[in-house]
Amino acid sequence: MKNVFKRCLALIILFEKELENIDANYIKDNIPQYRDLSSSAFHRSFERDKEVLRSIGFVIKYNNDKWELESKYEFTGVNIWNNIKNQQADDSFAFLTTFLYLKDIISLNNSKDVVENNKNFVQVQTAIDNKLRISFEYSNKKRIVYPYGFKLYKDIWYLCALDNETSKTYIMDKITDIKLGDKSHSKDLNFDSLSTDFSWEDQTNKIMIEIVISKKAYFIHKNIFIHKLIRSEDYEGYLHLDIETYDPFGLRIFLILNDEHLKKINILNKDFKQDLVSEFSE
Amino acid sequence: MNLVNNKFDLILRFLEIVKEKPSWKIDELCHLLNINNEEFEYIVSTLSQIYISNDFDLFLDIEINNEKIDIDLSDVVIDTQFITDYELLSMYKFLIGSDIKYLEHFIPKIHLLNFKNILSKHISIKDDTLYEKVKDERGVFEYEELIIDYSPLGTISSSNYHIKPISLLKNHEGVVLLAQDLKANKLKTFLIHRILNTSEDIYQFDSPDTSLKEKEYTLTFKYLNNNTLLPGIDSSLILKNKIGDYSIRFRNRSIALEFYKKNIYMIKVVDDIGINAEIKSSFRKVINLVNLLN
Repeated sequence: MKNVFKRCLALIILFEKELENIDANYIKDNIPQYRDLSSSAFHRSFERDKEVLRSIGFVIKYNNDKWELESKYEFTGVNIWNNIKNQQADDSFAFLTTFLYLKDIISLNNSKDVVENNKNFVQVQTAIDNKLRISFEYSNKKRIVYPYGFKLYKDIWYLCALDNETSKTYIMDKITDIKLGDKSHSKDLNFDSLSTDFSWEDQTNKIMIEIVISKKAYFIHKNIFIHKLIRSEDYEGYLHLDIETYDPFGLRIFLILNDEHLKKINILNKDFKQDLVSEFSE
Repeated sequence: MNLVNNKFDLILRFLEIVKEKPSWKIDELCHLLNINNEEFEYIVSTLSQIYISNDFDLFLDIEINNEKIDIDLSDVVIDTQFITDYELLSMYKFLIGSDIKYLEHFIPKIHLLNFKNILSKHISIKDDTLYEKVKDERGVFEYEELIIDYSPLGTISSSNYHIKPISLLKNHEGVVLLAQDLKANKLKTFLIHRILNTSEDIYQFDSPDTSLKEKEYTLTFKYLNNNTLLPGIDSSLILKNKIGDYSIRFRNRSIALEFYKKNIYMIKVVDDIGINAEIKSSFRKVINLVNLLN
């Protein structure tokens, strides 16, 4: 096992030492454990080591760009930590110790689906950082978009991207076969100013509601819908809440989940109230 | 992560942290890396062998004197980063997916906020949560044992559990605390958003009654909209039957009913008049409350 570590560590350091024009011969000549192997044994061993490194997030990729004179290996995967060390040097040690602490107490899901999904995230984040266009398969169609961020809604991750100048959201789990463009674009894709709303979200349709609900029920179910508390008063185990939300579906689900634990519902929007009563009466 | 990756990960963590300064107390290093003496010796012996067998100019030099370790790293190693985008992004996704108001019981909030704040500058994830400034507080993992007030899925009633916290992980129902139930002497998972209270003062209490065995319940349904992803369930647990309906087996009927309510716009239950009647009754109760103020 130690031999695998030696080779993998040597590979990481080799690419740090010499970032450009690394080809297979260079790798074989510069890592002692590869040097005496036959060509086929070297390639088998190198491929296995690449896979070990890839499973942790170090990516060694063969770049065969037809416009380049020479084909070579590229090493990626440590961009974020590199940037933190450069830009937030004073905080980086505290960040590192927190990261190590979190790694100890959090067991990240390593199922195949989650690992694949996280690899897709890294690819898209790389495209965002380098202002690259991406293509992918989605609902049996090829999409070509300009990615600018991610959002989480009810435990489902979405990609936010510009498709023909329109902001759209795509379910990350349904995205496959991501390919990154090779030329940077000049679009201004500021995450804070571009929309991350779903097509069904209408920001003009604010719902205001007053409820009285058991404290326990609210604590357990409050994440069912996205909302803002305008007022909260605690009275004998019940919360008197004034709520603002743009999430009509989430609110409906919250109300039926808590049917036994609500004492008062006062919907201040006449239209939403009529819709809800009519839908629930069917 | 398999055993090979775990040990390799340990070596990478060691290298990343020793880049900070050339001289360390061994205890301090072991504490930061949360490793024991055996693991420490394993790392040092592996790295020493790499030094001996590699061509790199003075890759690293390690010297141990009593309780101190001196590590001289080459410039190339100092410039090499050993924490990957994959690890940071996975961790950030985990934190964003877990409401910080729940997580702060487990991890000192000040560390959590600083960590998230730094990562938010490098990862483009929308996070609208507003955080207030806090004083440093201890996290749950700093206590050997605790009593938690927990409300299981399908109900809002709660019971006390005397536990030893082990780790946090995420499953399809949300972020869970993996802990040893010290009274039942069993490993159990507790959804953190359903832990109503924690107490480090250990007191006597009656254990939840587990004598009545829960009756499993199978929810059979149709999708309302082309096999949409259903939040709160591992999709491999959804089975398709011969006539094209789908089913999921739950620990009990209350959990199934709660799941149905959460996915009411995505599925329609078939073959269970009772559960559909309960949904109608929920609708009626909500309408009655809404109309009460007219």
